[in-house]
Parts: sequence; C-alpha cells; structure tokens
Amino acid sequence: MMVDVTEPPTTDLDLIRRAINGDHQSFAHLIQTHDDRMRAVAYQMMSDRNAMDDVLQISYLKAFRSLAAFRAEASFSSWLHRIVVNVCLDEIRKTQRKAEVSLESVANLASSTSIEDQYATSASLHTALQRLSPDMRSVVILVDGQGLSYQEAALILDTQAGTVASRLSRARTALRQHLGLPKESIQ
Amino acid sequence: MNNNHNPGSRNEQQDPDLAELFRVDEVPTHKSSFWSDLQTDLRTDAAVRKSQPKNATAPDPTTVYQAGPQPINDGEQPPIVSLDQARRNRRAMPLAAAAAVIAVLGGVAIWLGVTNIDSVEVTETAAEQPEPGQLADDDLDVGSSGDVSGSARGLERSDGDSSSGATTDDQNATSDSAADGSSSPSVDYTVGNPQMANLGRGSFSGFSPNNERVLVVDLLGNGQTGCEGAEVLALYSQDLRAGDRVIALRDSFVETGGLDLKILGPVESDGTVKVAGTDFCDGFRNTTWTATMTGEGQLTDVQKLAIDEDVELDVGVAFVDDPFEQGDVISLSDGATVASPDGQFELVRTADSLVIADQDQQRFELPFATDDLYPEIAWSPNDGVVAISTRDSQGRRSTYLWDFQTGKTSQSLTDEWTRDLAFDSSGQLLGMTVVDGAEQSILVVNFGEKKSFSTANAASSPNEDSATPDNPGQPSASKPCSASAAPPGALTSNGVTPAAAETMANIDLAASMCDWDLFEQLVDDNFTASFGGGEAIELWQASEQFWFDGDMGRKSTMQLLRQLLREPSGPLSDRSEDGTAATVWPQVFNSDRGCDSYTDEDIASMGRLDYGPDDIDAGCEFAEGYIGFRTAIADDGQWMFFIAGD
Repeated sequence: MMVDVTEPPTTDLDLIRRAINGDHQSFAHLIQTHDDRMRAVAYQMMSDRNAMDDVLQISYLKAFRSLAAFRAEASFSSWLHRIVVNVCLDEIRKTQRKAEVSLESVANLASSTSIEDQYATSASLHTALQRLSPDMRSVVILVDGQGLSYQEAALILDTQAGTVASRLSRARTALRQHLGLPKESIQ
Repeated sequence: MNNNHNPGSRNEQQDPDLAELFRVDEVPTHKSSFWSDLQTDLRTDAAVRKSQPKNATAPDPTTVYQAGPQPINDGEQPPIVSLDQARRNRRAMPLAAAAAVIAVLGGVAIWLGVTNIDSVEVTETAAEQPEPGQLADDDLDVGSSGDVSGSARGLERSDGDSSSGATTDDQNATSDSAADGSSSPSVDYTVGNPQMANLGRGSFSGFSPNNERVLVVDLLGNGQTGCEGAEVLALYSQDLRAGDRVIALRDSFVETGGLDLKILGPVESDGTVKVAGTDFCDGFRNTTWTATMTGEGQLTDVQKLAIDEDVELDVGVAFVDDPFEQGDVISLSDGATVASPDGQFELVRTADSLVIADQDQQRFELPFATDDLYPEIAWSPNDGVVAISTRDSQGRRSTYLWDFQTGKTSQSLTDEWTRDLAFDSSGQLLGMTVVDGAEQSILVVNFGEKKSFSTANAASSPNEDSATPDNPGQPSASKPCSASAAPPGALTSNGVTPAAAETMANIDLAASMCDWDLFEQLVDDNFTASFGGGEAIELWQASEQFWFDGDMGRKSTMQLLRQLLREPSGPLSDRSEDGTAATVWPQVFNSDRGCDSYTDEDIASMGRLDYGPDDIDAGCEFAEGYIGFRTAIADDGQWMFFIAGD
C-alpha cells in the first residue's frame, strides 16, 4: 500500500519536524522519497528480497523512533543511509551469513567474454558482492553503487575517508577479480 | 523491477565499470504488504509514545532490565520481564550473572576455547548472592538525554553484606575487592586536572599487568602490504616512562588487516594476565587466539581458538543471542554489554541510550545520548567511575567520567574523538585512542601522582627486541633463521624436471638460511606472493622478523616453505591459470582433489602445513578445496608462486 500523499511537496526538514511531533504519515512520505536508494543498498547488502524488506522495516522504524536525535549535521539521506547500513551489518553478523559461492560459479562469471554478458545477469554482481566481507561490501555499494563520495561514505560508516579509500581499493580489486573484470578500471 | 535506485550521475571517485553494473542492477520492489505493515508499526509506535509521559524513559521499578543479550542497533528496546519472572529465570538459568562472572573471571569460557555453551552451570548460591544496592523509588529519576551535567541518580551499593548469603570464592574475591577497595587503591576521580600524556602514534590496546607499559597496535611502517593489500600491523609493548617499544607478539605471518586485543583479567599471582586477540583481514579469514601476557606486556602461549573466522573482538565478552536459548551464548562479536568488575552491574547500550543494569532489580539510564554510534565504555576497576566516549545531544564528542556513586558526570576529559578506553588495574591510569582524521595516537590520563611519560621512542635500536613502527629492523646477524632445521620428510625430485628440481633445491636452501639474496635470484616479476601484493621477499622478511620459536604454535613462513617441498607433489592441473606445465606442492591443491576425495594421507599432509580440520572445512565451504599455502615450479625451472588463501 502506497502512502496517500495529499500535502504539497515539502522539504525533508519540514517532514521531519512534523514526524517528530508524531505525524507518522509525514514520516512515511519522507521515507518514500528515499526508499529507492535505501532499497538498493539493502538489497545489495543482503541479496535477498525478504531480507531487504526486513532490514528496511527495522531501519525505518528505528529512524522514526530516533528522529528526535537527528540533528541535521548531515543530510537526512546520509543519516538514513547510516541506519540502513548499520542494520544490514547487524543482521549479517547476527545471522552469520556466509557467502555460498563456489569457484565454479565464479569461474563461469570470469569466462564471460564481455562486460555486456555480465550485465545480462544481475545475479553475477550479487554473487560477487556476497563474496566480500560486509564491511567491504558496504563501502563499494555506497561509493560505486550509490555514487557517494569517500567523505559521505565515511560519514555513514563512521570512519575516516582514508579508511574508506583503502577498504574500497581492496573491495574493488576483489570484486573485479570475482567478476572477471580486468584489474584496472576502464576509464 | 525498478531501476531508478542507483544514481545515474557519476562522480570521479566511482569505478566506472562497477558503477555501470550497479546502475543496471535490478532491485526488486517491496513485497505488497511492506508499506501497510510499516504504516501499522509507525502508527502503533506513535500512539504508544503519545500515551507515555514525557519522562517515559524512567524505568519501572517493578521490572527488571534483562541485561546482556541485546543486539546493537536493532531499533528495539530490550525486553523487560517482570521481576518475578526474572527471578524464576535466574534460578533456572541466571545467565546475566553468569555473563558477569564470565567477564570478571577473565573470559573463562573463551579461555577454554568454548564457542557454544550447552549448559552454563550456575548454582542456587550464585543466584542468591547478596542483593546489590537497593534503591528507593524516588531514586529512579532519570536525567534527560544529552544533559552532560548528569542527573541520573547514583547507585547505592551494598558493602558486601556477605552474611546474607554464600557466594562462590571467585565472586567473593571480586565483590570484596570492589567493596573494600583492598585490591584497588583509592583513586580520586574528582581531581579537576588529571595529568594527560600523548604517548605517540598507534591504537591503544590496554595496559600491561604491571601497569608500566601500554599495548599499542601500530603500523609496521616499512611500506609492506599484507592481507588483501592492507598495511601490516604489529602489536607493541611501550614503556610508559622510557617510551621504548618492543614487539609484544610475533606472528609467523603478520599480514593482518587489523588486530584487536582484549585483556581478560584478572592479574594472576605470577603477574600475568589472560588475553584474547583477533587478527583479521577483510575478505579473508580471522584468527582468534588466547595468550598469556607477562607483566611486561609480552604475549606467550598463544593458542588459536577453534571458533568462527567471522568473529571479531570489537567489544569483548558479550552476548548476542538470547541466553535463555542456550545457543551461542558467548560471542566476541559486537556486543552491547560490559560487566562491572564486581559482576553486580552491567553497562548496557541500547538503541539510543546507555543503561546501568542492576542484575536483580533495577535499571538506570545514563545521561548520554548514543545516537547510532558505538560509544566506548570502561569501568574503573574499583567501580568508582565509568569512562564513556560518546557524543552529547548537541553532537559534541567528549570523553566523560561518570561517577557511579553520585550518578553525575564528574568531568569531561577531552573533546577529541576517542575510543578503546581502558583503565589499568590500579584504576589510576585511563588509556584511550585519540582519532584525528586518519591519525591515531595514544592518550593516557593519570589520576594518581604525577609521573613522567614519554612518547614512543622511534630511535630505539632496530634489533629483534626493540623494533619500532618506523624501523622494524632486520633479523640480526646472530639470530638464526627459523627454518634452519630441516623439517620432517625428504626433499625428493620425483616427477619433476631437472630444471624444476634445481629450483626446488635452491628454494629449500634459501629458506633454510633465510637467504634473501638467493631468493632475489629465484623470483621474477611474474612471481606471485601471498595476500594481494607487496614484494615477496619483503613479506618474508617481515614474517621472519616476527617469528620466534613456538610462539604461535605454528610454523614460520620459511618453515612452511621447506615443509611444502617435502609434501606430495603433482602436476599443476586445471587450477593453473595459463596452462603452464608445472609441479605444485601440495598435491592436494589440485582441483581434481576435491574435498570428497581427501585421504588420510592428504589430511596428514595438510596438517603438517598447519592446515587443520577447521581450515579444511572452510576451504571446502568457500573454495571447494585446499586454500592453504602452496607453491609451484614450472617445468622450465621458473618459480611461479608461493601463496595462501583463495
């Protein structure tokens, strides 16, 4: 069920103010404007639709409860990203998810002759992502998937940009290897 | 499917290939009930909040906070059960008490290598130990979140009314020491300007048992790369006064992407203390071990634990699952609780607050908002104060001392970003890591008599016992090569070409003498060393630098290399990337030796290469085969690789 939005377009901060005062409809509206990106992050982190919905339910409810603590130091999007990523990491740790990827499946990916071949199977990206550790996965999803800067990713992950850069470098190397892409990116 | 979830515009920091893959990735829509379910949850939550008084965070004195098993950041309030129910639970399975005892007794379960506790034996006497401090209802006034001046009321503690019930010896020991302070000198934490000293670069990992040194994790600092291309780290012991750093733990292959160390305490009669640590490497495997730390901070008797490689020692002993399920009771992963030294209280981090939980009756919220960050917490050994690094409601970072008796913030120590807080065993010193961008340094706060502190002394002699982060030194001329003794088995050239046999002999010779010059002649630009880069010989030199006999209970890199060449070999089959005709050691590496075909001889061979049952399981799970150390020599005599991992 989509939220019935009758209010004129408003800013995030307007919606946040209303939500803090208990207007859950405003919060739902606020969330909907960011849901596409959160859904991508959650799905790419968890690689499972049900798990995606579960972590987003938790994340959105947590965000609603914590809204009073939002201090607008960063954008609402960054703040929400942080919650979603943290919930994903917690869920992964709790369930001790293992990447069940065989060498054979990776070899099949590597045998693809072009990037286009690999594009044809979005599962290949997810298979490769699942071979990364959760920390590496989150940073590559945020920077290469979401297009965030190192600084934005660092803010979300509560770490330093340098850490993001080094972790990203390793994540990219591993991901490219898993996907059968050449070591150096095609500029 | 909806594809507008990934931004179309790119920035220069994106990898274009990967960005394109993400862009076209098909992300499913929510299941149909998602939004209605969320609306219901939001409506319910809003209604509950609306019905609550403004100070709704004040605890209900008739309920008990079920401390211990709360996961982090799950957005849910910890379960609260009735006092009666809690008491019944405690009699049946008083795991909260067990948690504290485990933590206080030095992570006994961890020390014993326990990963799953099927039964935690806690006696009735443990459950009926003297009740800790009783509070009147009007003591439950909880300060507003973010009020750093603090208004949470203090906890009145019993002074060890031992007549009211028997306790175990261990509990007596800890309770008594906390109650009368016999083992911890009285420390005045109200002193306005405690001495502070920055001891140099690195990440703080604790104090040595004799309180004269700090344990520091720092870069090896010679430009080497190790695990997955990460910089190589080492654990150092640094003298507080002289500043000299010596290596506290020498691994046979310190390629770690990180190193966590937790002191499990208490200090033994011989001055040692039990510790646990994790070497971790993103994307590879973690190794968790226990060890004995000498009074001077050196680690000995390192024992690898047979626990999941995903484990990290982020917090220490903690519970992540419902302990009443008797499942994975102990986890070293992110945890939410820290037990007080006397085991009577636990500091619990909830989704957005810090709570002191009296295991019997009460819970008390500390006046600190925790947002969704991970606040750092340390109890003083005499329970006098709790040191907390967090942010207040205005977003200001600070490191506070919160007085246990008064329930007030006694002082703010620094407004820098700090973590890894820990007191020394005297309670006079508080150490922490200060994070300033990419730089990390050690800060020690002294609440006792003024002392002379020195920063890390990088000018120490770079010999094996005083290597510094900036100058790790090289093996001294007098230090024997770790692999000078020939390992079991014969070096045979059966099945290899004469050229390969010559190379094999030269490799063995070089390894036996740690002859780096000879190694230089044996490797070329196509040679592959382990773990994602770095110059092979530099890696081996670093490995040799850290190794010393028996310290890790496993072979040095050079020993492994020599052992490899004595294991069964075979033609490198289809796991060769370019089809080069070559011989590989061990033979079990070949892909036609699938996990189902392992023989007892294979398993024995892998065992000689420090590749035990857990490694076999992990290799079969993740890579369908052996992923331990292996080496290959081409038929033309070219040494191809000496690597480990997948």
